Amino acid sequence: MRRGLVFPVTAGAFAAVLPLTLGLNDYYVFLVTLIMLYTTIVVAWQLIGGLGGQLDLGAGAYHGLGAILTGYLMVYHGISGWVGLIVGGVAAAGVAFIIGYPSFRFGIREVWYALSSLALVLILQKIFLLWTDVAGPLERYIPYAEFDPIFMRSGYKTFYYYVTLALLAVTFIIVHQVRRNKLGLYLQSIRDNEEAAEMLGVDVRKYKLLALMVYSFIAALTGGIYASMVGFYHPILFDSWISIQTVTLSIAGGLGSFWGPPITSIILLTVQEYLRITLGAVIIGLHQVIFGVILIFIILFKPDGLGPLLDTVALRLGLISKASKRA
Amino acid sequence: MKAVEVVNVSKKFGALTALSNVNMFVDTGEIVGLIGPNGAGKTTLFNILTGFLKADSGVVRIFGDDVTNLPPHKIAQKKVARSFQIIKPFPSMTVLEAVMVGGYLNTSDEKTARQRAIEALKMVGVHHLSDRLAKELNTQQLKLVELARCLATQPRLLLLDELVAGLTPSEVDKMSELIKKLNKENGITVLLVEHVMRFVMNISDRVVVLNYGEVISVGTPEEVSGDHKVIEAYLGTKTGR
Repeated sequence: MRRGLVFPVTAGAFAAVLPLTLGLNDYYVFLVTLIMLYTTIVVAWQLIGGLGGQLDLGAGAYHGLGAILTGYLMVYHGISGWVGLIVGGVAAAGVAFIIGYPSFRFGIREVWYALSSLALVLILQKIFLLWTDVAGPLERYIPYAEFDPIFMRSGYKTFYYYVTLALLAVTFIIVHQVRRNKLGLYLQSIRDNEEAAEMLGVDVRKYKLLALMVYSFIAALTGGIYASMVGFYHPILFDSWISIQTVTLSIAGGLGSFWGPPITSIILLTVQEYLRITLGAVIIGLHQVIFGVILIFIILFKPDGLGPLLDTVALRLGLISKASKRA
Repeated sequence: MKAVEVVNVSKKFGALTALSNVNMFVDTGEIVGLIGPNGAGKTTLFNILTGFLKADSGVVRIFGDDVTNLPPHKIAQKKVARSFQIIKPFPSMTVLEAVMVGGYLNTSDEKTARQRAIEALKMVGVHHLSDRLAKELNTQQLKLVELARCLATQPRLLLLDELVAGLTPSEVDKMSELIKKLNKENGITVLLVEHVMRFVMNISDRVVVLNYGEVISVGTPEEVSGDHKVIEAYLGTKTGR
C-alpha cells in the first residue's frame, strides 16, 4: 500500500468501527457525529479559505439553509431528507453565487468580505424568523421514525454517524483532488497574489465562485443531516458560532495544510464537548472560555497552526509520505 | 502586423492627466523601450494595455484584436504576458508550482502544464531552483522566476515593467542577453518600461519617450538620445540616470 494511504485508511477503519466501541450509546454517537459534521465544514472550508485565501464567515448561513430546507421538506411535504439535502445544497450554492458574484466582481476582499459573509448568517436568520410559512419563531418537529433510511430519519444516531462519515470521506477526497489539479493551484495563486494570478490568465472571479459554491453546498449538507438528527429545525440554526468555529479551527490547524485543520478540529471539538459536559452546567459558557484560551495559546506559540507540527509527527511515524506533507 | 497598437488613449486620475491622446505601436518581432521621467505615465499605459486600468478614451489593439478594457485574464489569453514593477511572487508555492500556474493557460492537463513550466525554467536558467520556495530566493532569482512564469504561458508579446530594477550591472547584462535571445530565437515581441538606460539603450530596436502623459519622441536609441525635447524633459532634469 502506498505510504500516503496508510493514515487515511487507518483513520477510516477506526472511524468505521467507532460506534461499536462506544457500545452504540446514542449520546456518545451523537457527540461524535456532531464533531464530524463540524469537521466536514472545516475540511470543505479549505477550498475557499485555506486554498483560495478568502476569509469566508458564511458557514453558519449555508449550514442553516441546508437544515431549514431539509427540515421543511420533511415536515410539510413528507419529502425524503435525501432530496432535501440536494435541495438545500443547491439553494446554498445559489445564495453563495448571489453573494459571491457581486463581492468578487467589485473586488471586496479581506475583512470586508469576511464581514459581509458573516452578515449573511444574520440576514438569513431574520428572513426565516419572519417567513412563518417555512420556519418562523417556533421549532418545527420532524416526524419521528424508528428507522426509515429512505426518508432519512432514524431514532438510532448510528445511522447519522455513518451518513456523516461518508460525507466527511467524500469531502476529504474532493479537497484532496482539488489540491492536486489546476483548480487547487489556481486557488493558491489567487491566495498568494491576485493580480499576478490574473495576469497569468487565472479568471479570479470564476475560480473563487467555484470554490465558494462547492464549499457552501457541502456546508448545507451538514445542516440537513444535523436537522434530521436532532429532529427539529429553527432559524437559530443560522449560527454565526459555526462560522467562527470553522475559521478559528482552520487557522489553529494551519492555513493551507491538508491534515492540520481536520485533526485540530477533531481534537479541539472533542475537548470542547468534554468541557461542555463536565463544566457546562457548572458555569454556563465556561467551556467556551476555556476553548478560547486554548486557541489563544495555539496562536501565540504556533502561529502557523498545528498543521506543520502534526505533519512532522506523522512523517516521523511514517504515517504519511513526504509528498503529501507539502502544502 | 502590429503586435501593439495604442490609438488616442487618455486616462485621468481625478484632475491629474496621466495619459493624454497617446499614440504608439510595436511591430511584431520588435523590442521597444518605453522610457520617461517618473510619473510620465509608463506604468499607467502598461496597466491599460493589460486591463488593470480602464482607459477613459481611445483604443488598444493587440495582434489586431481590440482589447480595450478587457480584464487581465482575457488579455493573457491573447498570448500576452507581463512582469510587474514590484515583483509579485507566490510565496507559499515552490518555484515549479508558481511557474505551472502560467503553464495551465488554456489547458487543464497537469503534464502539459508541468512540461511548459520546466521548459520555461530551463529557458531562463533557473531550473535548478524548481523545488525551492519563493521566500528562499534573492531578487535576481525572483525576477527570473517571474519571467519564467510569463514564458510558461507561451506568450507572443512580453510586457516587462522595470525588469532589471534592483539588479547589479552584471546581472543587467545577463538579462539583456536573455531578452535578446527570447526575441530572436522564440520570436517574442517585447515592450519594456525601464529606467536603467544601460539596459534599454542596449536592447531596444526603438524607443518611445513619454513625458507628462504625452509621447514626445520616438526613434532608435541614438535618435532619441539626441532629441533635444528628450534631453530637456528627461536627461536635462537630472531625474534620469
